[in-house]
Amino acid sequence: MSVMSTPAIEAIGLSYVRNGEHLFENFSFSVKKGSYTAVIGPNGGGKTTLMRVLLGLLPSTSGSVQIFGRSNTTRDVRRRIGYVPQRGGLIEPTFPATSQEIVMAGRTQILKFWNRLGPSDQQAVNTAFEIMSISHLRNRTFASLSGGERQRVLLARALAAEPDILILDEPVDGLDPDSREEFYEALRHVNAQGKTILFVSHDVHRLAKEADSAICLRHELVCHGSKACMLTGTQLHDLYHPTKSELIQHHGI
Amino acid sequence: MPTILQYDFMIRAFEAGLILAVVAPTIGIFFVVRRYSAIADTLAHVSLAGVAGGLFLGISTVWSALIACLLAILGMERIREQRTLSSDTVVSLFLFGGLALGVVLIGLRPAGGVNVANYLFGSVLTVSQETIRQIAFMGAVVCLLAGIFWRSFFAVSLDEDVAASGGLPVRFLNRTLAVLGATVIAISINVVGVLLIGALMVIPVLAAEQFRLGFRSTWMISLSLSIFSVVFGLIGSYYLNLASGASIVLCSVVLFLVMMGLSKISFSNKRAS
Repeated sequence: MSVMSTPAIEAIGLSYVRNGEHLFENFSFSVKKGSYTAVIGPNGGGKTTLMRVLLGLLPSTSGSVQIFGRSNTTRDVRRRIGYVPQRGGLIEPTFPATSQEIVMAGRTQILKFWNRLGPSDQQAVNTAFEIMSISHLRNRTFASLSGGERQRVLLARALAAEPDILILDEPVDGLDPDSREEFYEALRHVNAQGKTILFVSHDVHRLAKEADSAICLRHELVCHGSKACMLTGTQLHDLYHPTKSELIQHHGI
Repeated sequence: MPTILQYDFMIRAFEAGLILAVVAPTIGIFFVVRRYSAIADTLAHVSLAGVAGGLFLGISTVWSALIACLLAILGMERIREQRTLSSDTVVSLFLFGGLALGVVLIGLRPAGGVNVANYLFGSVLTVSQETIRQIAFMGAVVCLLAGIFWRSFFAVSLDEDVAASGGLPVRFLNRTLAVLGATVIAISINVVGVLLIGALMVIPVLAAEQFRLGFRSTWMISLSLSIFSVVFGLIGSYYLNLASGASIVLCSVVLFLVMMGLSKISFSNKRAS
């Protein structure tokens, strides 16, 4: 396989079993470089677990994950990934840190322990703030931010590492429409720069507009490939049950 | 020269105390933000067994306490990995087991010469010139490693999953932090005492957190509060004939209450304006 055609992410025969229950089984799919891929499926369908396996946070029961043709367990490969977890992740809401410190922490993954932060690091952080339009929040503490502002800071943290792949797990859940719009706009900008985006969400309607490809799962891979696969009535039926499928069709997708 | 500084043992106590005032909150801040305060307390109690072992074998109590803490860290981690007991259970077992083992070992030692209260609550009289050298050496190592790993400790404290997904060696960093915490505890025993070491690592940071500032600012304020607590705690200990550890920790508790009051006034003023 030539370097040019190496996918950004490739899952080969991926299975994950927890307490005897198959959360997903024998998944094989690839994500093209520079693509904007929607990952959709019902609650408990295995989306977050799949993301955690792709990120190397959970070991798959069988199968493997390749990032740019290399195992996702190597540190060099992981440095190329930016991750925005569900609901702000593990950060305590009262954690004493400013937005500047949090975004700066994003640079840690690409530096050696003993490296000091240099002008290029500061520049990357500044750029992340600008992309997310949150420069005015630099000196605000995380605790003082609204939900939408926090999510934008966390995406800026991921961007500060200048990753090639962004994995976002329901990042806009709970945000008001304006905050969502700003979030999507920033992602369009980032995607236009060539970064690969994997976006987990229930917002099928919106992702159908934003993404160019899709992975639809419900313990099994219902479909993957072009975003058309998430828009067909049959597949939505398989994925979410008829009611939701009808509801979405009712909205004209 | 003030009377208090005319005694060598007080000068040594100030030297040791000021080193601790810097290293305790420097490591303690990571324990506080990660809600690991109970682990700091457990290691402190286990260190009594180390002190007792050191006294029993006639070796330095600083080194023996450090060894006991390191063994406890490895033991707790091993039991946790087996997932047969909950974290709370493991921590409680080591906390009470360490304290009990320490008391038993001290009891087995031939009578005379050792006042257990000195190790439980701290005593400036136990700080020898040799102890100062050990505290200075270990304190310097702790500061150096804290400086090297500062950004990584911060990133892991912020969100372990994001740090791991970005390729940071989270397990190694957690172990290093625990070892640094154990070292701070080992060098604090003579001045602050086993039962109160955890407080010196935690209370100045909790007091600084009241201002709801960034990480660096919180750390710097906690350093100032810690230095203030050690200096005034030792002065109080000298003039009122109190156990040095208790006196230092009481000072830090008073500072915590003052900071909490100040922050409330400051935030109510902001809201009013």
